[in-house]
Amino acid sequence: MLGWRGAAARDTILKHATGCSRDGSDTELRSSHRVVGPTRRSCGPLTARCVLIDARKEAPKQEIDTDLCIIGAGAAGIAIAREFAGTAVRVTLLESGGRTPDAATQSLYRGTSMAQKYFRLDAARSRYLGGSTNCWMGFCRPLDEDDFERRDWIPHSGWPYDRATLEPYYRRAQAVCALRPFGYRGVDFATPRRPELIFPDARVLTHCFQIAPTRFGELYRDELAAARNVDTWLYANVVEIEPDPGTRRVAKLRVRVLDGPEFSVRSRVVVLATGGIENARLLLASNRVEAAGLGNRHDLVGRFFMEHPHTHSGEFLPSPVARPLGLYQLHRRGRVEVLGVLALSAAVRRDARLANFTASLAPRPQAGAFERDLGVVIAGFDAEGERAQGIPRFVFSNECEQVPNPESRVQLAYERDALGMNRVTLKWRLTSEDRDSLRRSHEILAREIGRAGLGRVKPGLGGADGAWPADLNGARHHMGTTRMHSDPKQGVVDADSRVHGIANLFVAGSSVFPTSGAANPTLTIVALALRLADHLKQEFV
Amino acid sequence: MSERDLHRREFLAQLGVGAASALAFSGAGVLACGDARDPLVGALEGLFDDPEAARAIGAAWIAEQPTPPDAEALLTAIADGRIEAARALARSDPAALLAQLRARHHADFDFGRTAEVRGWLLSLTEARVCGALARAGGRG
Ligand SMILES: Cc1cc2nc3c(=O)[nH]c(=O)nc-3n(C[C@H](O)[C@H](O)[C@H](O)COP(=O)(O)OP(=O)(O)OC[C@H]3O[C@@H](n4cnc5c(N)ncnc54)[C@H](O)[C@@H]3O)c2cc1C
Repeated sequence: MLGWRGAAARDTILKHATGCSRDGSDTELRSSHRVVGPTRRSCGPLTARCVLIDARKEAPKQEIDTDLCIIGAGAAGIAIAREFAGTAVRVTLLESGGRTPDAATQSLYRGTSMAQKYFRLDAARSRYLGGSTNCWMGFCRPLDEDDFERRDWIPHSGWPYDRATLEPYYRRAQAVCALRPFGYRGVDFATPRRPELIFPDARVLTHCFQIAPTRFGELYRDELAAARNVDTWLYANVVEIEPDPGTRRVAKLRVRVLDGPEFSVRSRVVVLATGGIENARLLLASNRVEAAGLGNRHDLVGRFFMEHPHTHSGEFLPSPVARPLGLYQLHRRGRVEVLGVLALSAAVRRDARLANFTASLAPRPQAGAFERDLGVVIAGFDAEGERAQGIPRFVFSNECEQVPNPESRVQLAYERDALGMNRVTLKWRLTSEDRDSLRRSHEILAREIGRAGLGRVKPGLGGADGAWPADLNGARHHMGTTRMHSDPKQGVVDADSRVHGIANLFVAGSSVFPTSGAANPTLTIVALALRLADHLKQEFV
Repeated sequence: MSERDLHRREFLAQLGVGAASALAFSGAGVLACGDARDPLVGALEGLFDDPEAARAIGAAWIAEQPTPPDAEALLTAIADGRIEAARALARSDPAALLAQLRARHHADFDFGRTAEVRGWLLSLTEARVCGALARAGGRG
């Protein structure tokens, strides 16, 4: 079949490939995707084109034929597309939104949330170039080593590989996310003015976040536009992934423009990178050949939805010995901000059979009379009676690992969006194990802080009868809905992120996480995307 | 021997040595528990910048006990049963007594000897010391 763009034209484009200004000022949103020849001042003499293509204005007349089609230009999609920029692989990047947000596109993200209280689904992600990195907070940290391990007290735990496998990709992901070099331990950021809290036997550790809210769309759009072999289509919504009759391969993608035309894309390889909820939605909605949806022979797509349960509970009065606590307050370190958090060591969690969790220290208003008195007692025992004036008070801001739960899930709703696609229903379900794990983690943390002479803790969840506190919510981290496992009966994708049984369909993003750890997901998403890109490069050799 | 036993033995040994020398030096008699002039209570007060604050915490703790302990019981528990030796050490070397109590307080967390006061996790030693001061000061 002939591609929408003739091979000769493509060769011309590839031969003339040169760099484009990356200052972010000259990317043009063009209605034409096939501009060959020098057209723009800022793109240098040999530049053929420097555009992002607006599918509303000019949808292709013919089917697009490409080598690699990436659905979704968020953190994962952009990271993969960049890996192929300047190569001989023809890349088509299909993005639902434009360069800026618009209400009609964003409303495609609307859905219903049942079970555990959750954010409005259209307010928990961004649907335009750059995806949810347009609104993320930029907190980055890798998963811990034992997050990858099979832990017999965490059902369904275990990744098909260990963290060491991902380590080189984590290091590369640092640059993609515009972070400092790899380093996330307390010791990597501790200084005499911002010391690390030291606990006996290292039973409690300090992890540090590197924080840089890098907007992937803004940062990389010029680079994408300048890459001769990458066509970035904006306002191009994939509404169905159509398999061949045997569902062994993706035959083509159906793409729709809001209030506009429909077109299709054929690709040797397809990467689904539309985010942790939408990845499942698109697979489930692609149900014309297999009624349960693509990759869903074992009823796993959409199940195991995980969040990072987030709550403020558990109070901490530091002893004078524990101060200053500057490492644990948000502070700038060069191009990033840094925040230290407390965590139980892997050994402690193993012994107590706990899920992972971290606690950051959220300052609270000055202590009341009781806490002031307690501050005096703490100083007496921990700091030889040092005066305890102006004792600060903190509440733990807890970020928890959610134990994988097949009943926590994303499903298709009956209601349809403006493109005719079923909306989603989210049933985020936590279990008593999740709650119990946090409660027991607090008890251990309270003992360890007391034992180290660093202060006292009022552990617990704060809710009535051991219930979750009222402020419990997620962190807008959507994970697990296309989980990775080497066994097709236990996972939607294999260790290479390929959908089991579908040779040319891969999934990128946190939907592939089998477990969530307690670290924010995007650094891992990017590391996995880079790993997938390396794998795909082999496929194209 | 467990670490816990070791700790207790160290504590008793310290009391023993201190008590012997103190008694030899002062020939002090027995004081009634809860007496404001009790040297042990005086030494315990020395732990804090503001003993009144410790009394308030102690009173809160006592109020939460199903069977509120009296001062004597608390001081005896603090002294690990050797209250006279503790008093003697309080007279002769209060700093050594307090150092021992601090060490025990940290070990309490290690061995799960903890107490809750309004949800805050304290060491049992800490709670007892505060409780004893509260009782001796007429609170709680
Ligand atoms: C308020 C907020 C704060 C956050 N803070 C943090 C943080 O501090 N640290 C952290 O690690 N993570 C954070 N996150 C999560 C983080 O933003 C996501 O993990 C990350 O953006 C996911 O990357 P992704 O590429 O998988 O998906 P996305 O970034 O969501 O990108 C998906 C892309 O696919 C496009 N798309 C969707 N459907 C279709 C379709 N049918 N056809 C074509 N394109 C489609 C979307 O428009 C979007 O551009 C936060 C999220 C939010 C909302």
